[in-house]
Amino acid sequence: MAADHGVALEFDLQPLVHLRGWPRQRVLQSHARLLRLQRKYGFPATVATNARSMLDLRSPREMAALTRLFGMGEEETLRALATPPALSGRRREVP
Amino acid sequence: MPSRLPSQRDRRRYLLCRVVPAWAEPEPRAVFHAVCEAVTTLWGDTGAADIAPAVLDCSRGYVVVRCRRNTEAQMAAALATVTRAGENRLALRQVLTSGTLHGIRRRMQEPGAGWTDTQVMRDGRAFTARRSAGQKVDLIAEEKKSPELLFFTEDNGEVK
Repeated sequence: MAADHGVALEFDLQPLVHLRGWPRQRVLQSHARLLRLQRKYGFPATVATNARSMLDLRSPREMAALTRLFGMGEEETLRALATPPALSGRRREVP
Repeated sequence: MPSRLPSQRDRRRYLLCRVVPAWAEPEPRAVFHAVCEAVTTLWGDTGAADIAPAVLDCSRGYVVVRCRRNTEAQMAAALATVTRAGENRLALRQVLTSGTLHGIRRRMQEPGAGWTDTQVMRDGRAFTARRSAGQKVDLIAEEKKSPELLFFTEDNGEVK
């Protein structure tokens, strides 16, 4: 359904940075499951740090290092980073 | 103990990281504990033993971290999860990976790297004006108990 409507799902990296122990393990499992679905159905995905200050910002290289933790490749990460501009630039039909 | 031949030594990689914010001056021991904690929580004890993290230098807004060769990716992921060193909230931005300390030092000595401090008096108060990377100026009030960071705008006038 998300693939049909061009709705992107977000991989939130903030818990990977801030959580420790089993909460982070749960987030990694959840992201890995979401990645499997994304690869299967091909819906748009995006990666975000949800930064509230400059200390929470991460560079693309660091984001690629974090996404590798749940099996996302570097190319997939770069594609996910380019998703928001691609979606916002797309012209949508109003029903 | 006789030193080993270069061919018999462990291969190491050195990572140069910039400390954010630039005015945070964390203690090397606190940075070491933060890096070790990040590596251990992310990769476990066996992973940390394989990576063998070490903090070699912590000065002038940079941290030099050492790890075993072929573990740079794991180290980079762990460094991205560092959010605090001791009492300071900070982040470590990876700038360069090198096989020698010489390459790291050369990068640290490039013009624009690090910062320069200038003493400034404004409204009867002493400030340290810290120019970082030739781009911005932070004004830090010189008070022992709680150093105060002031945002510097055009209204404040330029620091000469």
